[in-house]
Amino acid sequence: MTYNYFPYNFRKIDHQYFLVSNISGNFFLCKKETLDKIIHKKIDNNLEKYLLQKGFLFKEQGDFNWNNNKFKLVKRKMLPEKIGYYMIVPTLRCNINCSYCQVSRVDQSTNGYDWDDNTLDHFFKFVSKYSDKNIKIEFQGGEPTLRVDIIKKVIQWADKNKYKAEFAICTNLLNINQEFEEIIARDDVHLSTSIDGSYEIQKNQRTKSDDLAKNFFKNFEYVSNKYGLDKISALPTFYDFDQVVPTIDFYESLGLKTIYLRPVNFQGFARKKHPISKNLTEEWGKIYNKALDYIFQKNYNKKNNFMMEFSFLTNLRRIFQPGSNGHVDLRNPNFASRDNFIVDYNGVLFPSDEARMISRIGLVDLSLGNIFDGLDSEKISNYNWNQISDVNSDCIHCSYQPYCGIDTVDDLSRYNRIDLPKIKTNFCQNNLRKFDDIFSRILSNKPENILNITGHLTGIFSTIPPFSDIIYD
Amino acid sequence: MSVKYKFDNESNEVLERAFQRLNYNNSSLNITLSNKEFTIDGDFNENQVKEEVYKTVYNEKIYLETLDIRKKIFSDL
Amino acid sequence: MIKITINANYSFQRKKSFASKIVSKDDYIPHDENNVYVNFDESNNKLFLVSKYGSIEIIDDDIKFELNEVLLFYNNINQLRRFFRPSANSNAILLTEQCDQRCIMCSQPPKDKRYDDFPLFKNALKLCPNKSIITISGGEPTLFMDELLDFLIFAKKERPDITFHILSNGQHFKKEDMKNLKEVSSNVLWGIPLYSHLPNEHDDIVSKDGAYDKLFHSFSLLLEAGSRIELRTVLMKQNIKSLLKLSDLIINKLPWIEIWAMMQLEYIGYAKMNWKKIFFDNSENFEFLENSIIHALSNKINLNLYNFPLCTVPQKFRKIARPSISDWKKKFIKECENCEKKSVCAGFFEWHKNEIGYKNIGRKFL
Repeated sequence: MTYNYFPYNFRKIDHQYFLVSNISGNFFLCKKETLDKIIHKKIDNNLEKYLLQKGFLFKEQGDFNWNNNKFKLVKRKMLPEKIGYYMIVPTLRCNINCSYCQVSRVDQSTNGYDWDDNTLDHFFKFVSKYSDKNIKIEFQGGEPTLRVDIIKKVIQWADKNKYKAEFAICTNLLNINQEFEEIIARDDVHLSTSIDGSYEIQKNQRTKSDDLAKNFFKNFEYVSNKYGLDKISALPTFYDFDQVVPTIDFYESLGLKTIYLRPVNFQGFARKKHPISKNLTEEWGKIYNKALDYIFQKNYNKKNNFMMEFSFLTNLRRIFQPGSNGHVDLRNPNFASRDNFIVDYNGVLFPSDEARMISRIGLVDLSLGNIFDGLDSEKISNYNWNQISDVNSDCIHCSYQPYCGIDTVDDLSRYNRIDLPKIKTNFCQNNLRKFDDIFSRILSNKPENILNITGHLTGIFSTIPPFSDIIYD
Repeated sequence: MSVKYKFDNESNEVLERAFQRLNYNNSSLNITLSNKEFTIDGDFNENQVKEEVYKTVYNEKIYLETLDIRKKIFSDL
Repeated sequence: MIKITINANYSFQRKKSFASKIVSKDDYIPHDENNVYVNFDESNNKLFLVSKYGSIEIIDDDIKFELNEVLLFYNNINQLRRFFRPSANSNAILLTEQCDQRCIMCSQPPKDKRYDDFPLFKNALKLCPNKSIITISGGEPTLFMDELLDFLIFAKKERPDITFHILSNGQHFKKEDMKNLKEVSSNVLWGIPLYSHLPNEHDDIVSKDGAYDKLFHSFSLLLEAGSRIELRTVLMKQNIKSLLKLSDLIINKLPWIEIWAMMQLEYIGYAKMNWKKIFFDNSENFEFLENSIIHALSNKINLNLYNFPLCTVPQKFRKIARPSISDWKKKFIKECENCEKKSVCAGFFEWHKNEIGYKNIGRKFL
């Protein structure tokens, strides 16, 4: 049988097993002897049958195997045609001053950093032009609740114009008045807040005063009791890595079911304060794995109320569920102006929050137009050319390429240049570690790992594995 | 230390590409390629370097062998 | 049980079959054969339908018509057929009872009878409510592939809001059909059975050598045509153990299907004959199902359980169990009396025999 191979790559996972993955993300694990046979095309009937089964071979272009491969590849690369997700900054003003705050704030009393009616008007026109009726609008800032009136106007406009909209409000929860509560009560509104840890940490890193810290927790309890824990999600920012495990416990005590473990990402103002931030990768890696073990063990000992870790979930989905292309943090191609935009306080458009920040500190202007004059297609094109990992000399040799992403903005922010070998970047190192960890856990056969992998993928925490026949020998 | 790895069965094109990548990614090592043989001098862990060479050579081999198909796949998308 | 074919006395000579929609007496247009209204004669307790050509007396008892129902009036038998009922959870056209397979669990054993009348169906189609979903079943509908595709293209042009669910064994698709398949792809969901990852196991179940190979040849065409597929796997003793391997085959070779339906048996036809040999009681042991359900869900396959009473399914999987049994052949049993989940439960088939059915209703998994 003369079969052809789809492009594939391999990677050593542990002392025994290699991961072999092909261009559309199909994968299996095998020992070195088997890998050698595949590389040197000395496969026997059994191995050939297995490779066919796993989608690694085809006879001719356009046959069933070819089309299946194509389907998966397209699924992994598809981005929506219309812009569906707007992250808007109705005001850059904020009523607190978190220690690690990026370039995301100005003092509450500052003028000239809010949306006005003209901006609103142009925003509505922009959305009508570029989006269909399914949209998500996320209010960021500054502190968006300083301009509840703008939030209200946006929601009213969406209602009036029959949009099927979802709204998210990123808030420090210190400002709950009646007007805001009317908005919270809506089914299509979800809140997102920051909880960096227990009371002391929250105070030291965020609110600074006892009064505000108390106020925060009081309001959090109020909202979660009145509207349920599905109404509100929380994100931590870790500055002191010793606090990771206690914060996990704290989240559990609050009844929160998801946590997103990520280290503080120093940029803008914060980078000036903490110059050592650039070398956190390895330290964080160790802490993260330990934290994951901790969460997994807890889940293994429970019967319900399992906790999920968001970045583990994201990487896992990228492997097992082609089409998980919603997070700009991890997808390829990672084009701008396809499905989401940041709309800044002055109506300027950015492809991501990080792009907005490094533009604000004056590193490079990554704006892609504005809502008054429209999109800058040349800039978008230039930006997008650098957001495809399929043409990068490091990525094309990587087994994780089908699952991974590309983030040139992050490279730019950390290294002031985009032509660094990807392998040397924080983005790559971070994801290599996360994917290596996932496949190690798969190989470990430990029930704690299987329970959590299945649990994250399906919501059903069970020791039944979510994969079948993935180890050849 | 100094190690040598020979790849008699691989094409010059593959080895040449592998040589370039090895140099690019391992600037602290002194790498030469002659007569299908890599010579590596420097201060390193032999097992790690052996794996690195193996990986790089066969990455390039697979890449070149499947390059045509890769092009067809992308033009078919 | 709701009657689909109704006995009737026609008070007039029928030159041809015709289709009509039930309207209110006020909205009735006398010269239009495509509408009728319901008339109840209190003096003799008889139900009539009033049409352009005369009245039609309903002979069967307990018939409750509804507004906007679409009926077929035949010219050669004293019956009428309900083509579309707005309140029904399923509306089907039985195209034929002929089939080239003999599945061991077939609920509609093949007979040499056909009921195709596409000109009549085309007329009836035009009368259906907006966004109707119509099932086409048999026997094997694609035995009339050309006429069927012609009908579907007609439907796409005249009523693009209507969608079809066509049950087929997938044995008759040809390359020449691709152009038509592509044209109607967004309006048609093909319900096609695959019973095993093993060719001979699948062939044995459908009692036809080479069926598996032919099926995959069809899948290749259907994938290329962008067709929408509901893959159907009836679970029986014969294939339950290889379910996980089937799931693996699906994620590798059929990841493009829209739905994978795992189905329980219907106690009728060949299934009734073979019951003891084939019935797999998932209320006793859910293990083989568990593995493949987790596997499929983890890989984002849109898995649904059809015809499973909720109480025979472990709590954690109930979210994928659908109330799939057509209302006209659905019942609940006495154990269901105090159950609050009836509105979302598949219930039981009208002909289900409890004594040889599930051993654990409502007890084990609650």
